[in-house]
Amino acid sequence: MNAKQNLPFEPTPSQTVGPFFHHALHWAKSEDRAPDVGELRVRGMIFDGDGVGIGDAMIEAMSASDGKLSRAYSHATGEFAFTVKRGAINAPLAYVTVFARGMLNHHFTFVVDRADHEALANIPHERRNTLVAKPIALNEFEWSIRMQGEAETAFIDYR
Amino acid sequence: MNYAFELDARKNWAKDVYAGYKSTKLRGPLRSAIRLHDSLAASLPTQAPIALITARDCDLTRHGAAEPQGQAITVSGRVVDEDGRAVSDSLVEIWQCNAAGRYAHEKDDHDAPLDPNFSGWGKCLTDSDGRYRFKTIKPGAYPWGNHENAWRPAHIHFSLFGNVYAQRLITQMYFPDDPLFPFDPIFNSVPDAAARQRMISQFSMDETIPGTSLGFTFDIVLRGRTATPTGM
Repeated sequence: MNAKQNLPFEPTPSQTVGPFFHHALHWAKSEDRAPDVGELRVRGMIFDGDGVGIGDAMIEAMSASDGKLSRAYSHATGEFAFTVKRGAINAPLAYVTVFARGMLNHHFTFVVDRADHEALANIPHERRNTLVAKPIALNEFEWSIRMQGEAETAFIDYR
Repeated sequence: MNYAFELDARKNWAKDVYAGYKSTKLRGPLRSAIRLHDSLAASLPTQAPIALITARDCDLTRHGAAEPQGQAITVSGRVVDEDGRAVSDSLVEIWQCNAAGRYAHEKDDHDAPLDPNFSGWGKCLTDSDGRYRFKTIKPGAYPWGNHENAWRPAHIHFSLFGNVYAQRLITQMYFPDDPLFPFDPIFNSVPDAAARQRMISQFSMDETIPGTSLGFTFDIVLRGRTATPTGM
């Protein structure tokens, strides 16, 4: 163990995931599939500041029920989808982490199924709707991520 | 043209948009992240499919029919949180280009040879003391399209989960004394010079195996002093 690197235990900085992660991280990737009983699926787009879909993003969703990881890659158009086990009624649909080339850091966010969800209590009013998914079918939701702009997704710094 | 990014790194750095690294312009959020305490995010362990990990996954020189081209190295270290506590039984994934500077990835159009014996990806779990070890080959430097005569310093990508969701980290490990450091906007996207040093591995004679491989050590510190329940 190297004292110079580890004292006083300052965090190692983040660096971009870059464009070449796909094969290396594929083993833990989840297939896009319809939700089973007790599960939910979220589908959407990830957009850059010009409103263009980001085609090389990785979206990781964690179930609020069992912590199980769902790792999705965006398609060339910017579309993504993930399926996770549904958690408690007062928990988010999923905890979501966003990575891509051109992102210096990963970005934490979460998604809920209604505008009056208690998980939004500490999110500024004008930004809450960026975290609310639209129900489109039984256990199926639509939710998009916007990196910049008027409707920039609310990203979270967990403390 | 000369791109000495280090000299004006601070001036050009606005958290998630860094002028030197062009792709950040439209992809970095412009608003501050919202500080939040969420007991689930702070305490729920991310469950990755670790049952799929095999002992062979940490030796990237054994993924082909023969040894890959290049300088054999080991990369080892310890993963701890900000209080210095070991991050044990935690997933570490790595990926890198080959010795010639080419990724085994269809989007890499660098005109350098692919190595049929090198995939460039590996994974393992940290042990009970937070330690990990990979055997691989030293990656090459490679050009990229960010600006005229842009080259990435040799690096290995690291992905870490920590023990709870909020500890997630993806970073890049560099090699000591790389002459490309002052010219690389990704390395210099970290505004603090001392923090940049924490991304550079160290050569270790102790970890060097006679006649076989050079040893590099890279210790990693994850967030967590206040994000983990035991730190509260």
